[in-house]
Amino acid sequence: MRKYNTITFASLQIYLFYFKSMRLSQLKDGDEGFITKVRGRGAFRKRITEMGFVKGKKITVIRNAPLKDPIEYNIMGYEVSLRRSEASLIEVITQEEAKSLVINKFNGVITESTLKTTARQKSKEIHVALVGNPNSGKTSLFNLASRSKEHVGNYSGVTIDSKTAQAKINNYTLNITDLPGTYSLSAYSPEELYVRKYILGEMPDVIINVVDASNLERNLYLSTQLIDMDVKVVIALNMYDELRKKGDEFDFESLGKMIGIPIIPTISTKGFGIKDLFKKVIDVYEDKDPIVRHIHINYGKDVEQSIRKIQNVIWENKRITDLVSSRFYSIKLLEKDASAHFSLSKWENYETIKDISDKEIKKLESLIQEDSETIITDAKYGFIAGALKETYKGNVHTRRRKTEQIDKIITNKFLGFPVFIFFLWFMFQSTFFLGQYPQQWIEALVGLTGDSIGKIMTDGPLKDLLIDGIIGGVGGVIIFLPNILILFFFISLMEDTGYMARAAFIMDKIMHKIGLHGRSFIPLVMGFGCNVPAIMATRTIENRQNRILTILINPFMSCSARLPVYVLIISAFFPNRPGTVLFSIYMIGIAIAAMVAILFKKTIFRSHEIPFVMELPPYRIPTLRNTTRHMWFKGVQYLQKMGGVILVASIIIWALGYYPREINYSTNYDEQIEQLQKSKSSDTKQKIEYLTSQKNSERQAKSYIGQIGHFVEPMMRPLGFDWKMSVSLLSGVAAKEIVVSTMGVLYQAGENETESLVYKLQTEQNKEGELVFTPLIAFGYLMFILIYFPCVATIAAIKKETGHWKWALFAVFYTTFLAWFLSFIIYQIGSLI
Amino acid sequence: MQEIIVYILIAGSVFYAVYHIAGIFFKKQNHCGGCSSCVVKEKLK
Repeated sequence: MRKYNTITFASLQIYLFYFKSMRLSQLKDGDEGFITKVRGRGAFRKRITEMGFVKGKKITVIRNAPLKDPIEYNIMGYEVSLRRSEASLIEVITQEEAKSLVINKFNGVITESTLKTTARQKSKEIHVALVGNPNSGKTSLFNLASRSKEHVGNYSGVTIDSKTAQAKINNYTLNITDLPGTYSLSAYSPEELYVRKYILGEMPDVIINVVDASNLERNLYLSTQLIDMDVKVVIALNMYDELRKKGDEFDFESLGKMIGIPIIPTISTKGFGIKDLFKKVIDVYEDKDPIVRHIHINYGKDVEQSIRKIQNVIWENKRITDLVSSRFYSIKLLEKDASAHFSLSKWENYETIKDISDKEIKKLESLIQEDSETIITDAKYGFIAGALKETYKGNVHTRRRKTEQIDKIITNKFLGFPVFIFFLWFMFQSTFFLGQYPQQWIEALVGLTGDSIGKIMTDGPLKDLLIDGIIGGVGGVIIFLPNILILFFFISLMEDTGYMARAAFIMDKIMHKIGLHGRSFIPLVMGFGCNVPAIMATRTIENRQNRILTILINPFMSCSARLPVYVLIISAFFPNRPGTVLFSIYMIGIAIAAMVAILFKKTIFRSHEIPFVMELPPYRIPTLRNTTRHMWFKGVQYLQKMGGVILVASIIIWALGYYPREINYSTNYDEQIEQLQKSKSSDTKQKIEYLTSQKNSERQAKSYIGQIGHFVEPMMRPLGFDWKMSVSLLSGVAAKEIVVSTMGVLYQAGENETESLVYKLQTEQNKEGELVFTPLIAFGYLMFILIYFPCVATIAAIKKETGHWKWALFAVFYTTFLAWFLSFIIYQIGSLI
Repeated sequence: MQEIIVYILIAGSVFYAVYHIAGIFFKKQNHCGGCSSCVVKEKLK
């Protein structure tokens, strides 16, 4: 490529005129051309460039298919076929076109070298569009750039003029089009509609978004819409002198890094920064600017779900997404944008798209009790507020006074963190105390069901399975449903009010200290619900290393599946301050996550973080409907788990404990019991109970599960865990609730079923007559549950999200080792005290 | 009779457990919209 720069043709004067370039689809069979530009976007652009369709490459048309679609091409020695619509997005230069461009010292022969040089020159022609609010200084910037040499062009179908001019810098020609000033890209006014159509239809290579530095919040609203459109943008921070005069501090470089758009300060009236701006445009055009990346503005969980659903149907028609971002269209449809409907109406699956978007709008409006357009506008302003809070110190006149006033307390430097900690403490305290009443009712119901079955059914394995396996196992877990619902009530409250975003904001500084961004905190808090969606939520973190790190520490966030185990053990062994103990376990989990993050950041993941905007959406009063919906959804999910995986696991655990039936007992218990029954002494009843218990104990120990338990017990003995505890941990690998159901099956089998599991855990004795559980062992056990092996679903999620088994396996081993090590320290040191 | 029902339940449970765990690992991944955000992520991989 380089050698063509040095040949004689490089000295040719080439005049580039602004005209509609030839597209690849216009070439005929056998024609040759050189690629000058690849338009289009997203997956199409990625695929096409990977196939070798890059600037300066020679391409030959082999043949058009009988119906003129697709077209077969030869590029870099191999043959590919493209749809006509795809080929129309690739600009080429042909011999004829090159002749018309090369007008000086031309020797009459257009060789391949000439063509290639011309193609390279032509690819240095950048189509730039100027977009900005009215009175943002856009036109003065344009005039300065064009030195008032602009010509006015009328565009068909609209009455609005848009001016085009040329600027030359560093061998590049910038064809700058000044578009009408708009506050937004909604299709309300002709100007807005025009600007939007221009950007989507003409596909400028780079957009200069002129932002009035003295009114950032309002001006950046338009920028958020450009972000949604997924187009190349450079922000001209115009009237920068006014911002400086006010004494405001604005870290525009950080903001640029956060939003993935370079920001160049300019003073268009004085010509300040214009050259830098154009140089930046060239860098962005050539994909040389390191901070350019496409980000997604987070519209909140519900809106994001709706966007995803609409995107799914839009994606069915790849030809739409080759041109326009499916996310942009989805957002516009949610905003009830008539123009978006009009644009999509020509596609065959429009009716489905429309149906789904209408359904999603209805759902969102009923959930949030706001007009869908307002919801999206609020989220955009939330994004801007978050971005400016981190980068701008000045008098930002927001339209959200109430939100600001609340934020003064909630995100206050000194109060923010204590308020957050108090809220978490209150949440766990309530989970425990409010939950205990309905928990007792369900427990009574479960006991009653067991008794009734015991009375109705004749003795046999099915009766044992129902009472010991299913009621003991599933019943042991189901009683914690109220606790789960209460926890989810609070999580939903945090999300719906907008407090969750503030929590991330408050935690930002701490997260920075551990090498992560505050944004990583959202997936971590989500981990309190379930680690699987939390791991999926890390997709918003673009830095891959930070993402993997967040994924790896996520299992330390106690998911709701672990809550039943905590509540059971805490009820049994820490009854005095259960809420505080529960809170401290969650806090220990967070502390371990932080320590592990610091360790990993210093050893495995050493990359620098990419800044992000922390959205601060306005506060909202949560609707009862939305909160109950979240709780209902979680309740249904929990019950489904009971009826599925927990039930199945309980049956398997029971079967492993029930079989084999033929056991060689160490002593003949039946004979001893028979003799005792005949003797009729005063303590006969107690002795018979003891012998029966011993027999059951030995039978269980020699069952399949007992054998497994005894196999793993030596590894767990240094932690103070017996074989039943070890087996329960092992079964918890499938799902953490199964720890409780396994305990329910193992500790309750064959004995007095009316006694609660809590009582049985408190009184369980080993062969030596010592208590199996002491508060020390129970605490070590809680720690083990907190840290060890994330469940199978989490492991699968880690594998899927990181794309490698190695991270999934790493998560399995390092968490289990850490759990063992900490429980060992707790038990061994605790035993010495 | 009870014995037979129990055996069927156990066999069903084992089958469900295997199916469930396999399902977790082999479930199809979510779509990627192919926007440049995903492209960047792909490149970072």
